[in-house]
Amino acid sequence: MRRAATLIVVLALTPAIARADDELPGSQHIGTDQTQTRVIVPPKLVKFVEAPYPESAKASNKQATVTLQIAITESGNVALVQVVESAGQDFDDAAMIAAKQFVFDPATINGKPAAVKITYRYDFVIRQEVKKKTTAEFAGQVVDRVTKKPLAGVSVSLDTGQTATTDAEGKFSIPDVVPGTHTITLSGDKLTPIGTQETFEAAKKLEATYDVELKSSTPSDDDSDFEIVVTAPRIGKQVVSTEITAQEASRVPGTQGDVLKVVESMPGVARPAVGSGAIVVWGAAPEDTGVYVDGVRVPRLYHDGGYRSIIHPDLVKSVELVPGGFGAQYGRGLGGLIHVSLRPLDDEKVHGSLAADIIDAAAGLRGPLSDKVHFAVAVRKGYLREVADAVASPEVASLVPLPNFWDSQARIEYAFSKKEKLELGGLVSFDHTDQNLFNPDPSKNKTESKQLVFGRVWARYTKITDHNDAISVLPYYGHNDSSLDQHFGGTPTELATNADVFGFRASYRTQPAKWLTVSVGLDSEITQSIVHRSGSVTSPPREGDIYVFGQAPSAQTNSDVWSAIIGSFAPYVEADAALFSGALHIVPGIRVEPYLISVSKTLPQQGTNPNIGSFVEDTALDPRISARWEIAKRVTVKGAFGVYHQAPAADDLSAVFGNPSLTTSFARHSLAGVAYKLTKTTNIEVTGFYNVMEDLVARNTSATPALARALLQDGSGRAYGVQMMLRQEQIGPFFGWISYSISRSERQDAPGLAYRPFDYDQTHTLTVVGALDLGKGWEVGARFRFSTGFPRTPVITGYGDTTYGGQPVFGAKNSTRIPPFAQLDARVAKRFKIAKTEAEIYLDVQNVTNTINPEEIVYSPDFKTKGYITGLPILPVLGAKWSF
Amino acid sequence: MVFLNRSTLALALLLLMRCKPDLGARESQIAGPRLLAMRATPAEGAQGDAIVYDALEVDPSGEVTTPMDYAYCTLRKSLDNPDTVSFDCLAASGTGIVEIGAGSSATGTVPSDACRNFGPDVPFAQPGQPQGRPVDPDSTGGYYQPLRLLFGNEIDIGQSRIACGVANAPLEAAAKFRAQYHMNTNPLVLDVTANGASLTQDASAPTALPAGSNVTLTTSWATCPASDVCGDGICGPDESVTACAQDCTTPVGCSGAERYLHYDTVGQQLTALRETMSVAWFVTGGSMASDGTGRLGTDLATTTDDVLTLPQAGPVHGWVVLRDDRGGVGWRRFEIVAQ
Repeated sequence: MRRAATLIVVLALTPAIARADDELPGSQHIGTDQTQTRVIVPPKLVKFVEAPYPESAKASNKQATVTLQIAITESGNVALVQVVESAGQDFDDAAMIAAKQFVFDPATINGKPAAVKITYRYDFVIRQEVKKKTTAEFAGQVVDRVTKKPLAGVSVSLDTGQTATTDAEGKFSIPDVVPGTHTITLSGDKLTPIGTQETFEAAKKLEATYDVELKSSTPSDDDSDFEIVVTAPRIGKQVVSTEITAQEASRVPGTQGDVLKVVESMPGVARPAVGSGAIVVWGAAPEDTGVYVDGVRVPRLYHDGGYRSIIHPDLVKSVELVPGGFGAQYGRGLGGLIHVSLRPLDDEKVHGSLAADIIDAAAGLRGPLSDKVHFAVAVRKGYLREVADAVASPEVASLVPLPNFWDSQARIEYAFSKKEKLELGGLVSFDHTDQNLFNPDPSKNKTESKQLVFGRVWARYTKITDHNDAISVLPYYGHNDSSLDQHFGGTPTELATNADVFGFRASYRTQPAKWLTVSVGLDSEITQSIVHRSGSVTSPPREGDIYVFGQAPSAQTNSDVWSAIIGSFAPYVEADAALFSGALHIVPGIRVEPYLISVSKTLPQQGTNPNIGSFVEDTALDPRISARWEIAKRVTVKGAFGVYHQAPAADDLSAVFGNPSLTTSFARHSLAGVAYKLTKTTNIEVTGFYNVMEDLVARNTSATPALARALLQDGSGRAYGVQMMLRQEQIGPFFGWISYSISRSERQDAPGLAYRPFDYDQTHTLTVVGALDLGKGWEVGARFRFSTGFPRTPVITGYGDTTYGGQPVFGAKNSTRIPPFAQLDARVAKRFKIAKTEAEIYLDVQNVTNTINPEEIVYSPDFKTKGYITGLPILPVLGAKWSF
Repeated sequence: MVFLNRSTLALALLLLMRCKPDLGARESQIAGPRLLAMRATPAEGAQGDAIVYDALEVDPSGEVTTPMDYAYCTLRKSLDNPDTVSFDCLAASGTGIVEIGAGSSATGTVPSDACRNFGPDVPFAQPGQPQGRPVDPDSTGGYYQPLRLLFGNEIDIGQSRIACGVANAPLEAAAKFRAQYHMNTNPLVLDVTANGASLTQDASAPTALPAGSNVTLTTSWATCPASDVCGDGICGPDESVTACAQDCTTPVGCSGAERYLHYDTVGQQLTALRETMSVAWFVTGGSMASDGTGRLGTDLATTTDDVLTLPQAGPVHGWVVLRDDRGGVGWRRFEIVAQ
């Protein structure tokens, strides 16, 4: 540390000064006469000259004081300087030289300038140099994201050229960083460089932690490729969410390596009926939970039957489930939010994989085309249908509802710079399922054919400005083509929807203050649908309908063709106020969303009369707020409240089968929870929720309904409960979690009616998941699930209809349940190295204990005998994957 | 890479199949008293028409004649009711239950508001409420007046097809429909044979067949013309009083799979369809291979087969109930002894 000396000046007008005056020629007496009042104003130093500290004295830390007598003229100049008390020749000389350069305002006596002498003490003191620092310090740690272990040898570089390398504890430090926003690059021999930005302030220290994730599923030359994931505060961090990385998810039993199937094992998610693939989150209807792929909404997460998701696992980085209380960036859903994050396109080499099991085969390829252009493509084809056709008799093959599915995704990204990128992407998903139950009596034939084809294409532009602001623009287009064609004897159920989807999302995120992040954006989507429907009003059954498995639909049929345009444009703003050094985050937001609903027909077709359509504008104001408060080092409490709106489905806007005047439904989510960090990698989180839903669409229960009012918007609902998640993140060879939910979801179909259990209500849902790496490429895992059965309306007895056969007499709606479900699944996997590539063979065994689980209640034709359709017995699925 | 062979795949596929439980007695097995059918004659009637109703009641000992109490139920079912009638129709008496009569048969008059309650006529608006929703037709374009059938302590439901015209059709189509739609005629079972030989209906002289053997039973019905020919005695869907007074002044239908005029609401046009015929088989002994068989309207055959596995010994009382998909019913008994 450099030492410096500063002179301190003490100016004193003392009796000694007066006495000394006599000794100076030309001076006037100054003082007080007893008979004449004299007003004396001492001189004022206006120019001080610092004396150089004698080098010899500075070296020895010697301090001194020299007392001088200074004669000052009437004009304020120094006339004479004499040493009164010496401190040594060096100090005396320095003090005198300096003092001779002083300039004063002259002293006055009775207002007139006067020459005077003063005594001046010149102190030489050595003191620490107090100099405001003009640079910042940068320090932090780099750790393995999965194991949380520190990583040594990682190079941390700034765009100033300054570099540091992490030590054994993963720590680094870079001093004297020029204030401003700088690009940080983390790199190393075995790392994929990745950049981020940090803002530095003068004289302040910035501490950061960077997580590093091992990409074990994609072996590189030496099987040590890493992906860097930078932990950065993002606005809209959800209060209650579960995010599972692709790496973990692929190892969960029951997923057969399909990353997104892990959603079924997340807390707050009801166990779907076997083969349904429906996702019920916190008691919301499956269609009320939005599924997003990097911000682009898609109609579903799983293919028919729930055997596979619609995204190839190699393209997935992670999947996050937000069961409720999410921020203002998202809307159009009363339930939860599932967000699939796609893998960043930053591979330095080409990687790919081939995989197959009894369900499907898949291939993926990704890598660089140049320094600035990266791509990823994947395709998957299911062949359960073909397998059935090949190995089973035609009757059996046609009986089993096995889907024929495929999907494909493609992305290409151009990087203008590390901070500015443009991605073009697309995905397509196809499902077709046929089921035929032929009967010698053709009036009892049952056939079903359903198909869903949808695709999305998007362009995503992202930029991080020099001020560290984030800009994202995402226009997308989609097309949905769905059809259901059922025949129960001569009674048809046909529903075909053809829809074009135009979406646009844009956001701008900035940090106007260190403690405040603000995001503004626009989320808009317009769907133009053409719907054809014929059949019974009650077929296919909707939530809340009294329905018993196998019962023929009502023979009363009708038909309609209509079109609908449903759009909304939602500007939103959200802020993240990080208070108390970031311990408390308050995230208020608001979303203003005008819904536009246009329908081609307000009444059923009357002969050849022209149809009259309708147009409704319904503006929703959705305030949202959430808060996270780290009240202690390991304890965080959370809470959120939000209002959510959802437009009616185009399928419900028929003048014959629905109601063209339907508008939006809404929900209020309230939740509170606490998270406790047991260890660095072990967390337990308990969350309570209470959601209220209003203006729900429900079947008109009147025997004499009004025209075009087959559905009404008088329904309401409530869902409440508590969920718990104990999660052990990857620590050494193990990861796993225990999730448990106890909840109740109820609906009131019309005012005045009693609340009844929601069709998908599950009181208890328990999931235990664990995976253990045994080393040498061996890995085992297990999953146990227990859940309450879904509610069903009991059949008390039956009666005969001489035309239509047996008919049921129902009890109270949803007053009984399918028996509980319990199942243990297991997984064994072995990884091999083949040259510079990796292969994996896995055996995923569902229902290891061969437990008989009732999945549905079924009755005899006269409805007087009850039984159960049971689920899958033990089911081994053998598969393999080769990656390079 | 697939590390599977054919047998593994077959096993996995079988495991994927859902398991459905055994729910007891088959529909074709007569194990107790049952009402197998109710017939309206004529098979279709307009409001105010007189209809004769009779029923087929059986038990393991053969045909029985428990007095049947017939009543109309005038209550509409609610829109969310998946059953065929209002639950309130399952009452011996009360609001909406209009007695017809009791006995082996009864004659009722189709209620004057049947087409408003159960047909395409727009219901009277409730005070302060918008126009009501008519009832949708079945896939043949038909509407049905429900009947409450009370026998002993059991209540079943019957359906009587009512002629109410067509709803929401263009005027031209509606006019043509009124002129050329002809009310349904009950089908008639011409014969029931076992391995080609007619089976007797006389319980006192049953047809003897080998015990434990499988015999093919065949039910036949009349052949109806595939196209309309004026003067053939049958008033078809392409004929009207003006076009063929000879056949249609007093319309005569066919007792087989009739052709009829149907308004296609999807295509908004009139088309001629042929009835689908279904046969329900019932036996007191042995077992039928299928509970029901039949022919689609596109199938011009006039017979349908089933296989009866005879018991080791004893009499077998049997019935076939022949239905067309417009609500017409016919039946016939057969008597067999296994020896």
